[in-house]
Amino acid sequence: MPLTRLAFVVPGQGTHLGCEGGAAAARSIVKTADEQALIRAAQTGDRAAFEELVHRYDRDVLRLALNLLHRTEDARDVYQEAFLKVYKNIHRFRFECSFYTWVYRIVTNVCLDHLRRRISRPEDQAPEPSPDETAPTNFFERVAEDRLIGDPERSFMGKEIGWRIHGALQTLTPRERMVFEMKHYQGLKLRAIGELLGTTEETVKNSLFRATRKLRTRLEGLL
Amino acid sequence: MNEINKSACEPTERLLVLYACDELEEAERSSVEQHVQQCAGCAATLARELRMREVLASAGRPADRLDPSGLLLAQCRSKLAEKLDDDAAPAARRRWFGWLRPSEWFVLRPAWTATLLVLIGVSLGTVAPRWFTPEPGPINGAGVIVSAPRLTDQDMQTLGVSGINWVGDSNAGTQRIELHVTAEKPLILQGTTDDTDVRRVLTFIVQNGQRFDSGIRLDSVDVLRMRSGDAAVRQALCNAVQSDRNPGVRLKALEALRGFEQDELVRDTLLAALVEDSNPGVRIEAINALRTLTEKSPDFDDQRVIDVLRDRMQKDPNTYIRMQSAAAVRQLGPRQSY
Repeated sequence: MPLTRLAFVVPGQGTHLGCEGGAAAARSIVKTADEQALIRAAQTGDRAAFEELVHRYDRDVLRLALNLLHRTEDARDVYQEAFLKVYKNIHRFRFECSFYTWVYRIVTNVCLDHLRRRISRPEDQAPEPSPDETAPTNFFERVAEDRLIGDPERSFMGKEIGWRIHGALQTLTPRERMVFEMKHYQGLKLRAIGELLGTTEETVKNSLFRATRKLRTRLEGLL
Repeated sequence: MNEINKSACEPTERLLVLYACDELEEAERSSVEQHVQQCAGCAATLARELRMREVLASAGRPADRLDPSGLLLAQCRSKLAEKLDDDAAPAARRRWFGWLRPSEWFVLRPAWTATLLVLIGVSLGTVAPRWFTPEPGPINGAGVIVSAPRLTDQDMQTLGVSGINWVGDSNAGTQRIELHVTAEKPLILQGTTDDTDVRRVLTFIVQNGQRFDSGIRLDSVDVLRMRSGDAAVRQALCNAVQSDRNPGVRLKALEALRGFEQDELVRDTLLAALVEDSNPGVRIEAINALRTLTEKSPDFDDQRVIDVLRDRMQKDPNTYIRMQSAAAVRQLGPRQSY
C-alpha cells in the first residue's frame, strides 16, 4: 500500500528520497529516449550508434552464453552470430517491445540452437571443460584465486560441488537450462522469460518445475 | 506442526518451487506459508528447495571462471567490428552500383525485361550486319584509286595493308577487289586482278610476308590464285611456299600453284616443300601435286623428282606421304630401277 509506506518516510529524507527516485526515473526516461535515438540512428546505418547499443548489452549476452555453453569458443560464436543478426535486422525493429527484449530474443534463440546442435551432434563438439579445466591459467588470476580459497578442504569441497552442479545441469534440456539460467542466475521474472523465449508464462513455469525436480534429484546428497 | 491430507501436498509441491523463486502472488504466498506450517513433508521440501538454491548460488559461475578479466569480451567486440567492416564494404558497393546489376531489375520487372530483351535482339539483328558488312564507299576520308598504276617504288617500300575485301556482285561479274592501303597517306585501291597496281600490291604482300599479318597474306594468295598463269605471280607464290612462316599460307600457295606442276620453278618448289617443310599438311599437298604430275605425264623423266620420291617413300615420317611417294615411283614405270 503506497500510503502506508509514505507514512514511514522521515520528513526531509522523504524529499531527498523523492528527489532520488525522481532523478532515477528521469535518468531512465533520458536513457530510454537516448536509446531510441541510438536505435533510429543505427537503423539508418550509423555504425557508431550500433556499437554503442551493442556495448550496452554485450557484457550480459556474453555472460549468458558462457554460463549456458561453458565454452569460450561457443560463447564467442554466439556473441558474433547474435549481434550480426541484430545488425542485419535492426531495421525491422518497430519499438513494439523494449530493445532489450528484442535483442535477448535473438540471443536466446542463438544459444538454444547451439545447445540443441550440441545434443544432436555430440561428435562434432569438443568435450565440455570440467570446472577444473576452466580454472584461470593466468598466473595473477590463479594466485588471487588460491588466496581466496585458502583452506584446501574447502577448496576440494567447492570443486566437488562444482562438479556435481555441472553434471546436474547437463541433464536439463536446452530450454530447461535456459529457463533455469534466466530465472535463477539472472533473476528475471517468468513472464519476462516467456516473452524472451516467445512462449507463455505457464510453459516457462512447467520448464522451471521440471528443471528443479531434475536438479534436486541429481544434487540429493548435497542438500 | 500438524500432518494434513497428502492430496493437498501435490499441487503445493509445484507452488513451493515458485515460492522459492518469488513468483507467487501475495494470496498464494500466504496459502503456501500456511500449508508449510502444518505439513512437515512440504516444509522439508521447501527447505531442500531453498538449500539447493543456496548451493547453486555458492558455486562459481562459468562466466566468472572463463572470462575473469574481460579479455574475451574485448576480443568479441573487436571481432564483431571487423566483421561489420567486412560486411559494410560490399553493402556500400551494392548501394551505389547495385542498380547496374541486371538481376536487380530483371527479377522485379520480368515483363519489361522480356520486352527490352526482344527490342535489343531486333535492334542488333537489324543494325549489326551493317557494322560487319564493308561498304564500297571511301572510308575515313581515304582517297580511292581505281586501277591506275600510281604506286611508286617508294610507296611500295612503306606499304601497309589493313584489309582486302571483295566488293560488288560476283554473279553480275562486277566483283572487284578493294585494298585498304596505308602508304604515305591512306588510300583504297579498287580493281580486279588484271589491274597492275592491285596485282603488284598483292604480289608484294606475298613476297614480303614478314611485313604483313597472316590474314592479309592468306587473302592475297587467295586472290592471286586466279592469276597463277602469270609468271610473276607464280614466282611470288613459290616464294611464299618456301619462306612464309605460316603453314596455312604455304598450303594455300601450293594449292594456288595446282595445274602448273610442269613449270620447273613450281616443280622445284614442290620438291623442296616435300623434303623440307615441317608441316605434314604442306608435304601432303606437295606429294599430291607431284602425283598429279606423274599421272598426267607417265613419260615424265626427271631424275631429281624420282630421287626425291624414292627418298620420301623410305624416310618421310608420314605414312600417307610414304605410300603416295611409292605409288608415284611405281607409276613412273618399270624403267626405273629401285
